Amino acid sequence: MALNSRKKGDPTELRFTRRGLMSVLLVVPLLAALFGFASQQRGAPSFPAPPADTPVRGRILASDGTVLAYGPANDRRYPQGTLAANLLGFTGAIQPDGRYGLEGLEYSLDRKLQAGRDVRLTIDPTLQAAAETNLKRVAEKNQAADGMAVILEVGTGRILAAASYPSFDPNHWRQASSNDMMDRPFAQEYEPGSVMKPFVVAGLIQDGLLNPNETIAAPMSVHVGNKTFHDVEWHKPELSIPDILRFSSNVGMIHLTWRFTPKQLHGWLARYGFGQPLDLTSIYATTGILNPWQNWVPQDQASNTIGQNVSTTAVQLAAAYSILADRGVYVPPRLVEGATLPAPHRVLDAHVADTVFKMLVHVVDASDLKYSKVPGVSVAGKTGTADIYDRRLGTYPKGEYSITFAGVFPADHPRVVTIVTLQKPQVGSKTSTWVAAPLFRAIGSEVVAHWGLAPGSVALADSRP
Amino acid sequence: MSRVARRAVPLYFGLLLLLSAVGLVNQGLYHHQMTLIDQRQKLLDSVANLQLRAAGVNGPLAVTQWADAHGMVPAPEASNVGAVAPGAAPQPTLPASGLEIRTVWH
Repeated sequence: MALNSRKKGDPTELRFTRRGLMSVLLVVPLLAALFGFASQQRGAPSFPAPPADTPVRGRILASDGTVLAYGPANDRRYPQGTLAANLLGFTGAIQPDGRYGLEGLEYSLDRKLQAGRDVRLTIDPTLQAAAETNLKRVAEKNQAADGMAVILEVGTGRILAAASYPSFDPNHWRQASSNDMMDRPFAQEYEPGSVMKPFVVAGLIQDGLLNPNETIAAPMSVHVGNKTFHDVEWHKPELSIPDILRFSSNVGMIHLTWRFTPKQLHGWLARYGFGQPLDLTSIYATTGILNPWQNWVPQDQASNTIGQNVSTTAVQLAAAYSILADRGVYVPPRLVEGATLPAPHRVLDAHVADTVFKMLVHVVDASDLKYSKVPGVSVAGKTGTADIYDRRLGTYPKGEYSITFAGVFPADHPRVVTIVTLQKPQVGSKTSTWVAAPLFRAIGSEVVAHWGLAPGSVALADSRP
Repeated sequence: MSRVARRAVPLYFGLLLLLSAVGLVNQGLYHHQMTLIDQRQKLLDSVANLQLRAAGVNGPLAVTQWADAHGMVPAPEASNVGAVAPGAAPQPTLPASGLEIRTVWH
């Protein structure tokens, strides 16, 4: 069209027009092609390339090989849902310190997992499920604020279950609160109450300060400093040592504790592991608080003796009870198979541990603790009901208790220590005997069933919590 | 147009066509790979969801909770439980109050 409009017979003009046309024909497709490739680069790579791969992250396995966590850090999966969720934690975006794990084992074992190595835990999924289910049921029934349960294998220190209440689903961790995520058996320190008493008795016997056959004057109350300590359960004014534990006599224990200097009592509590690091490199664990003995006033020593003014974690308590169950030897708790831990060491002479352990069998057999008896097996155990210190108020509010039961079974050949603790139950009984002991029994029965032990001849009234 | 230009133009268009063809194949492969990656992710999600659903049926937690919800007890407790009625016994319907005297024979 353009050619027709030009003057005919002007070759220069024609050549110019042809040249322009050729230029357009040559350049436009090239520009179009280049522009096409360039435009693709804006949205996605021009050449097929897989999305940037995150490093392969190791799996977390239970002791029987059940997969508890797998997949890359940015797409981590927890196929067992809420099982052991508080223990496992979860992953998220990479953090300034290079970790992907944000909580629990995902955090503490991040480097090992990011190196692509699997981690096998000592956790038995069946026992973990039994502990979680029973803990949740009893906690909800009694409207407890929170709770925890630990099952620890005597002799090896393997943690077979570590349950927390409340819990969450790590597949949807963004919907959970920090309170739901807390790994309580390791991270929550609390004043354990009377479950501490057997350790004081054992220390006194070991140091030759107490004859286990003694009888002690134990009135129903005693004044220490500006504080009055009472016994809860009525008893005779004189008690044998086993009966001091049976009636959980605060007064009897306080009379006994004066045989120790503050330094001696502090030393014993530290030797059992209270206020000391657990040496568990696999997971974050608090040490609990054992105040320096130099700062103690007399009522502090009395309080420490009955498990107040000193705090512990459920795992520390389980490890301490394993000393009594394992003939005086402390075996560091183990959560990861193959982890390097300090060597076991002796804390008590075998005969001292045996003597106190028999007292704990007496506590269960002779007292009103039928609700703690696991049918078919003998149990050694101790209750603990403690006031809860409110840091915000700076005092111990009335009516708020931490209730614990520490038990070992079978008592004739100890295999496991089980610790159960509920905090601030709001309804029903708020004592260990009526809440924690039945919870212990419920979990203990599941453990015995899991072992496949035939029920023994012990017949008990039904007391499912 | 010079002889060189006359030869270069078809070569240029040939190369352009080849480039277009390579680009087309390239884009086809790219979209195919994107589709495969999407499918892979969907399958991984599906496997993960199925594993979760399986754990919700036969996982240790589900089994324990199911047994608990259905009144089952661990073997050691077997001798300590008894049959319990599922609910309260039905109450007889009482006649409305009035002046009539009714006698009920038992």
